[in-house]
Amino acid sequence: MIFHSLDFVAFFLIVLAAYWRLPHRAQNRLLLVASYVFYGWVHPWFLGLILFSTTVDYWAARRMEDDPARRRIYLWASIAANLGMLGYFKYANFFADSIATVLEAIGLPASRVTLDVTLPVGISFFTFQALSYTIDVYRGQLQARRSFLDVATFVALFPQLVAGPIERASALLPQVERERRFSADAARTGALLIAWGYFKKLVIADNVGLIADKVFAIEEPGFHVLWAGVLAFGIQIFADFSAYSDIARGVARWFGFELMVNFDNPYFARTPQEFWRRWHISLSTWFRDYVYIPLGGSRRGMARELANIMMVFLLSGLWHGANWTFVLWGGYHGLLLVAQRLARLVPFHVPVWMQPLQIAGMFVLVQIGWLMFREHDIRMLLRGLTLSPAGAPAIDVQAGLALALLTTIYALPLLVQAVWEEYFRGRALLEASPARTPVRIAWLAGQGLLAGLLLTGILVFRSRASMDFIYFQF
Amino acid sequence: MRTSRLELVFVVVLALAVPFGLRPVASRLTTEAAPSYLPSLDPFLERAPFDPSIGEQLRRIRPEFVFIGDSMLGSRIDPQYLSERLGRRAWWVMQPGTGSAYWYLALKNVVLGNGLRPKTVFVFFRDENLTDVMFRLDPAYRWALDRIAHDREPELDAAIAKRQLGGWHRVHRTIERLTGSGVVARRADAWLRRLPARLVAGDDRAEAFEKAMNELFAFERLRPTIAADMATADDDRLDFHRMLEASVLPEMVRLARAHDVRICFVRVQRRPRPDGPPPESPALRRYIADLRTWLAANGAGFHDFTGDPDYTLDWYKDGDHMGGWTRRRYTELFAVKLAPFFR
Repeated sequence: MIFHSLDFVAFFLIVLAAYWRLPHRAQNRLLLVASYVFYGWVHPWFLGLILFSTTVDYWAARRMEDDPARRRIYLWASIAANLGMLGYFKYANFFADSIATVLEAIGLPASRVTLDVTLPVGISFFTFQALSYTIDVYRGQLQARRSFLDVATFVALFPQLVAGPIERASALLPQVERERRFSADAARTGALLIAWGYFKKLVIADNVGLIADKVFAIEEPGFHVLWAGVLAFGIQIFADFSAYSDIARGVARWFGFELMVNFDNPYFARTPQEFWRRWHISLSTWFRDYVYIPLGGSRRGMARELANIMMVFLLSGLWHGANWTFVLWGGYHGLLLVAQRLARLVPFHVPVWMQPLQIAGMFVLVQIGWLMFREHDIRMLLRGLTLSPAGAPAIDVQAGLALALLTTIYALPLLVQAVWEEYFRGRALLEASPARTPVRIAWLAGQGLLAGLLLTGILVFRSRASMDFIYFQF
Repeated sequence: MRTSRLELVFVVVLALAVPFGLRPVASRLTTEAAPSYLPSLDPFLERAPFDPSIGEQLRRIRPEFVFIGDSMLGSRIDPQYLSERLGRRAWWVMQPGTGSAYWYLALKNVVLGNGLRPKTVFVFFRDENLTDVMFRLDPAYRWALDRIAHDREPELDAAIAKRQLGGWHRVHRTIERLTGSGVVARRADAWLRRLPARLVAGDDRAEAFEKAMNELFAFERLRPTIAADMATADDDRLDFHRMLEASVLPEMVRLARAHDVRICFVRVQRRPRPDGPPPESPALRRYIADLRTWLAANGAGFHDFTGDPDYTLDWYKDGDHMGGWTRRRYTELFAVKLAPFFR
């Protein structure tokens, strides 16, 4: 089921109406059933995968506590089950194809086998979320849970099941276990998040997505048209993915859950490191805590630290998709971080006046990365990266400018929101709760008007072509 | 707690009320609008006026053979030359950028509505266009339809309504009706679509610039895999009988029969490959076979130019359009290949 469908609206209202009439344990049962309905809506067989992952992780965590001497074995059982499932459904064809290409390149006979495998939506998200549970139990940071219902609800909680945020067991499981009370304040701010999320998805992401799709569909785009398309994709992927996270957070609040912030104005980052602190925060911190630090992080000398960075980002690229261009994208960001780490060896204080330039420079570097991410054909990618603006025909310059202008017009609300949050404490203001009556009424009216304007914007400016959320495919 | 809930209700009600602020804007935009002839598509319609001159021209000529179609027809047939060749009157209702909705109204309002009873009406189409009533109904193309539509077009509206069934659509239409957002959205869409061209090329050159932009993204410039994907994606809906139910094709055939006019549907060949006819998916072949069978069973003519070895790539100019230099030759061959319809 997708958020921007009438099915979901009906589903949300029905589940919500029933949910707050039930006692706590029954609420969890309802949430689990609702989450499975949500996930299995189109392909009921997907449920088998999530049940398998949940059962293995529940069992492994319990065994780790019951038999601590062999807890490493149970951890590996959990990792093997989750990554094995992910590997088969997401990477089997990619690896088979890559091996065949290598064999052919060295002159050995290779038969190309293509498995008829459908990629289950959200598999990369819920496997990572489930793994956080067993790893935390293994580390002794979390107790294994006795209630299968609670663990299953944690793994499958529907608002964030398909495209995150990837919640940690230590943050979400306690929320599943404790009694929840309906908070009208949380629901109110949740409604604003939902409205903003829908606006970003239907008005911004889907409109600029059409521009990106058009540009990446043509055989030989000129320099200006190509980079206008990349800009459109850069805006699309941010608006699209952060929209999903916002809707997920907003919906979760209506059910008494608080999910983590997944995006923090990433295009205002000044350095690669800062970008990854602001972009897909739940995945970045997952890789930091469960891959980078166990590999030694920065504790074993610089060479090892740089190698660890590269390893993490190559894996992160592969997590995003079964294609070498994703690996390349991950490697590119890894190199940016390595370069930043090396640059720190030369003491240099960046004056305040240079910060806007830093932001602009980082934005350009990220856009170069988006070309690698969006372009799945290596030949076309190389063409794009080596394309020169020199000698471009006038129509290419003008068309590129027109597309970039249109993208910028659609992206203006994102810019306003980012400036508001970055420089005027927007998020805190929005979630603030003024106590004095006249101020409070004005504040509430402001929130209502803002949400209303977003709804009006959706009605007037929404794209005529509705698209799936991009991160569904990962 | 109670206060918090009241505050929540206040914010939600206020948020839901704001879109109704569009109503006065919508009313202003629709004060000069005629009643919608396609309420399924547009509750409020700002339309171009009916243009009687199209029918008057036909009435003057009183053709025995009438051609209806879009630029596929325009780039292939020269009706004046055909008249000279046959020694009998032939003319057309040709409007580039149109689809089956327009062709149906052309038959009903322009040809039959003017009291004309030609011997044969030829309708030119590509692939599944004939049963796709939504093709070229976007606001950008609608003005042409306005020029030949009456105040009410219930059969066409019914076909469009069948294509738009579904819960989401009904909810959406209701919201548009209540808030007037549809009218504002269409105006905003047109304005926004034109804005970059106006900013980059200036008001007077915006149209030419848009045309040049469209050529940059034309079908021939697509990556081969994308073009193939598009064909496959379209294949998902290529179920002739399902499409027929929500189309104006049965009404066109019924009208022709009721007025004792022979009607022949002509499928043009799309741009061929250098070494042979254009590619056709199995689904499209099945669709065309079903179309052929249905037309034959309902007494309508059908001719398919796809795969005709006479029309090679050098006949084509851009996309599926033929070069102007081929029109007379095409017209001559047409008269020969479809001779029974000219008797």
